Amino acid sequence: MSQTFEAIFKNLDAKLKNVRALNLTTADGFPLYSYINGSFKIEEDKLSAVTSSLTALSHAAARQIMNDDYESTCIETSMGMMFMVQTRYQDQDCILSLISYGQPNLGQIRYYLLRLAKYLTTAKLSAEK
Amino acid sequence: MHKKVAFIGSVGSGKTTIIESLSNIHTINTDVQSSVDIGKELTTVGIDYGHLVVNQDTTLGLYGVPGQQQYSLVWDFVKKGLWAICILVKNNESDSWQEVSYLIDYFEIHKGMPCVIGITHADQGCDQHTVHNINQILAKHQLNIPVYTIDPRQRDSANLIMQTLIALEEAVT
Repeated sequence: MSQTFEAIFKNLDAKLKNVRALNLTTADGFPLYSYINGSFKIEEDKLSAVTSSLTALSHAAARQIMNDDYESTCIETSMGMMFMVQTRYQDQDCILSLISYGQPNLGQIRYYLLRLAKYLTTAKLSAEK
Repeated sequence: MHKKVAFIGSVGSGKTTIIESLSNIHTINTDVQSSVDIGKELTTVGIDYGHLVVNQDTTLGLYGVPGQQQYSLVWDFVKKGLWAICILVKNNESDSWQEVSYLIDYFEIHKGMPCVIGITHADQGCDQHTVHNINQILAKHQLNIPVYTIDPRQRDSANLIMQTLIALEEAVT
């Protein structure tokens, strides 16, 4: 039986704590799945547009400045962190992003998000968002 | 002096192409595979950047932005400190020319700012209907902006835009 995105979010939140949002969007910025926790307010379309823009710019920086392949992008603020990784879902280039508040552990976030990104390449999630 | 020029307009109007035609360097582009049918394979989701040397004193940074309004965060970034703007409009596509009014407001285009409108995808000749509609929009905004039919793939055609922007600034100053 296929998982819901909400179940994936809750599983991740149990490990990382203080996860506010998890989003899967196509590389060109169309949201596929989003789960926003509780009172955290965010526009799904805006989150998808931001992640696709930043990931595309990160790709360009990795390729043209570092002459290497892109892996992930991290934004840190005084309140938390936004982490983006590329993935593929149902044969489409996609971006998986996570927003965490509190005092997030970058190493843990990176580990679990990369693992989830790998899982998504072969998964078929429940149609229920 | 380094000046900043923005290329704006609807999806598929030729913003990435015109920057590639004009730039003296390999452009930075952020094209990705489109997941919906937009009439082409790739679409810009971040920023396009090219660099054009006009003369010993002046260089231009050429900035292209995504066409979709959802990417207004990129528009906001590019909008700061603009010297000039080129709006590209797809010939005979109502969505493309209807957006001109929104873009004029969003980018705060005013009489003192060099601005040109280029009609693209007019291989079979420019549709006068497109020109007429654009002129009506410009009249509503009380703007007198040159409107050309261009082929962004051709450097000479793209240069016409840049030469006009430079001439417009000289006319103002």
